[in-house]
Amino acid sequence: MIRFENVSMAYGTNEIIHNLNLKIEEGQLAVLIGPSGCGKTTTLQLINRLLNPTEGNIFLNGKELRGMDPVKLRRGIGYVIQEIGLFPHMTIEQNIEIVPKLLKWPAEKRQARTLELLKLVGLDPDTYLNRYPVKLSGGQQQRIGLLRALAVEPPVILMDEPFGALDPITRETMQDEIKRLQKKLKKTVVFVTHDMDEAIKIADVIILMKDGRIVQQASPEQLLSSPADEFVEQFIGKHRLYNGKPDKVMDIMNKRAFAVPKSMGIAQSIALMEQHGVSGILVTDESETLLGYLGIEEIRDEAKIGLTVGDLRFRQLPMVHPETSAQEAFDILIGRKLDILAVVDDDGHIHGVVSKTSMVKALARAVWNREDAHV
Amino acid sequence: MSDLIAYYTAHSDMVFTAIQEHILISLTAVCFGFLVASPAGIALTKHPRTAAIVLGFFSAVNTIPSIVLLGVAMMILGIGFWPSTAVLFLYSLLPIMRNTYTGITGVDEKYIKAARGMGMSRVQILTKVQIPLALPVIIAGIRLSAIYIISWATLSAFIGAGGLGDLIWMGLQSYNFNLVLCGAIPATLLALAASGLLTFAENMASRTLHRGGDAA
Amino acid sequence: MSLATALFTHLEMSFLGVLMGCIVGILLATLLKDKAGASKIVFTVIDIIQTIPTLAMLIFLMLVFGLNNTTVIIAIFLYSLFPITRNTYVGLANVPEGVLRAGRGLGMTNLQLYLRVELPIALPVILSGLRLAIISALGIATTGVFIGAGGLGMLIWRGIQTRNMAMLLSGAVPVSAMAILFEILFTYIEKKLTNRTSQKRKGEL
Repeated sequence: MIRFENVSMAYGTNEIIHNLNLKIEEGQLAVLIGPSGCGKTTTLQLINRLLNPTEGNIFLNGKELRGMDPVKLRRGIGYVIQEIGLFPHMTIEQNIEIVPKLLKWPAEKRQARTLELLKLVGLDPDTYLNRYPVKLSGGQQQRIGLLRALAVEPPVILMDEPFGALDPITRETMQDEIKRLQKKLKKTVVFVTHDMDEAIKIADVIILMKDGRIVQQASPEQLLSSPADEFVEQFIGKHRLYNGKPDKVMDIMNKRAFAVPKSMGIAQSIALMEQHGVSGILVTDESETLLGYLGIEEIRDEAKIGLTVGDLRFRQLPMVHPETSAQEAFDILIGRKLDILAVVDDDGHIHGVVSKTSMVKALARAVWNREDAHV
Repeated sequence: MSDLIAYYTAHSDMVFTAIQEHILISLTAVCFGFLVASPAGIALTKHPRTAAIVLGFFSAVNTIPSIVLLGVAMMILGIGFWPSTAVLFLYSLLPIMRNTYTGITGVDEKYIKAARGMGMSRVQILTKVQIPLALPVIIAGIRLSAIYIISWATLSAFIGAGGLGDLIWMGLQSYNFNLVLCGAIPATLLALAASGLLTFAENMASRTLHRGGDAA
Repeated sequence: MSLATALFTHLEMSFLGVLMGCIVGILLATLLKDKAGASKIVFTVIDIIQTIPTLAMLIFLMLVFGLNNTTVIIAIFLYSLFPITRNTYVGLANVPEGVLRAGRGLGMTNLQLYLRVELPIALPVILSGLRLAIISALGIATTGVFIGAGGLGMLIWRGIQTRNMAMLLSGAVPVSAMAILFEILFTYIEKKLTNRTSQKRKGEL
């Protein structure tokens, strides 16, 4: 449906896009993602000719963009941006109707379409039609922005970090919504984001870019299980599937274990534990070598004013090396009926802890792909 | 043109006297205006609702064309220097008062918070923080005032106050356009000079604010 | 000279002058949009025009156009350039970037963007400039009496010359009343328009 052939784009001597070849099929939700400056927004803007390539050809349904009138082209493509950009001086109704009006649709057709669209996202027409954008929340505004883009039923919708300005909860809701709508309306969507979580959640195909080139184009599943190179691996980060199973202890350990030096006072340690919401602390010496573990019980039993952490008796934690296989660590935890293992390297430095809970969460992620199970 | 220059050279004394009178009237009006409007503007910053009323009232006063008030003043107070200066003083109040008000209320909260936190008294905050920061805007207000006053002072001649308006008036009466221009041109130059000077002062005040780099 | 004639002449001169000021001013500001260099020059010139004392300006124009109403109309035109051009320029410059991008992306031509988005959004600010222009126009028209124009200034001046307070007021009151009326009317409209597009902020006058 959308095809880039050897496309390059430069501002003067600064080449933003190098020899890009890209194909997006009809009905796909394609996500362009990459670090800042990788050219993803530029690529998007080439599709509706807000920018023009310096070399190469872009085809929409087989037709070359170069020969088309840009204004007519844009009226046939939906466009949603991060700043939302609803016209502040127009009501919601007028905003949604703007492109139909430009195309000179008759009034009844426009109104019918607006009502249809509001129903699509579950917004009550009586409440919203005559309101001005300033009265709406960010999420509602962007919903309207989406409806405005959908008004003339364009087959392609371009979205440029559309949820970037929204709070995390609204963002999640909107991600679900766009996925639902895209499937229902069978639109081709090209979506730019820098948020890997978002991409994995909604994309049919992810196009990862760097320095104006495509590094990998694949479905989320393929990308996560077979990253093309180290850059991709790094970019995916914690989402990485280790061929379905976690390999090593270091892949599943909880790095948020809390360590304090033995010279720290009792009262301060308790306060810190409260602050960080942990029920035990690791005690290290000056060189950050692990000395032991203090649970809240030990502290409660033995704490006296003026004592430091080092004065208390701490538990010796069983330790595993970061490179130990996760399976072995699991066996140790279960076999010895332990709550917690310390992950310590050859020099005695502490890297993290493995608890039964963290182990279970990691496995759940790998096996069932549960997003809420963050280590 | 050469006609004009000849006329001017012949009557330069008269022109200079008129210029001096004009400057005197304008300066007196603006100075008194400043002395009253500035403290008033500062006082109003503590009472926003009163400010709305007071500024509204003076805005209304300033929409009244100057010859009206000048004429009324003449009929009530008589002719001469003081009646016209009184009217001009009244007109000079609004720009200075309004700019002082918006200038001071417009100073960013964060500076006042910082000053309070450092233990400055209210007076110190006013004199060391608010006024300096509001200075460019206040000077802009004085500039507006000055331009209006110099302009309307030309009309005050019609109620016997002297100044460059006098020359214009006499010239119009006797169809002596050289005389007219000997009044109009200096008046224009005076206004431009005052404007230029005060704009310079405004820019200087702005620049000193930003001198230490814009940490703001 | 009846009140009615004076009133009509007064309004006619003011209206024509401000209208010309609007046409030229808005066009000028539109052409200067995004052109910082040219703007500086143009605004410096307009600034200078603004600073010239009213009577002096009327004198200079009179030497070219004569002792009549036309001179006043042109003076009003020149003095309305400052508020209208400057406000239009600022208003257009303050249209949010995101809104322009959205409009362009949706397929609006530059003209459509200008007429349907930029101007309407800038409207409150433009009206504010128009308000200033009208009020100053009323004042200038009053001063026009000294170079032989008609209008309410005639009544006021005759009143002064003959020490006739009643006659002075018959000119002064309508002029002041109109000025205050326009001030209130425009401020109301501006407020209405701005309320559509902004949240109420605490402590705003």
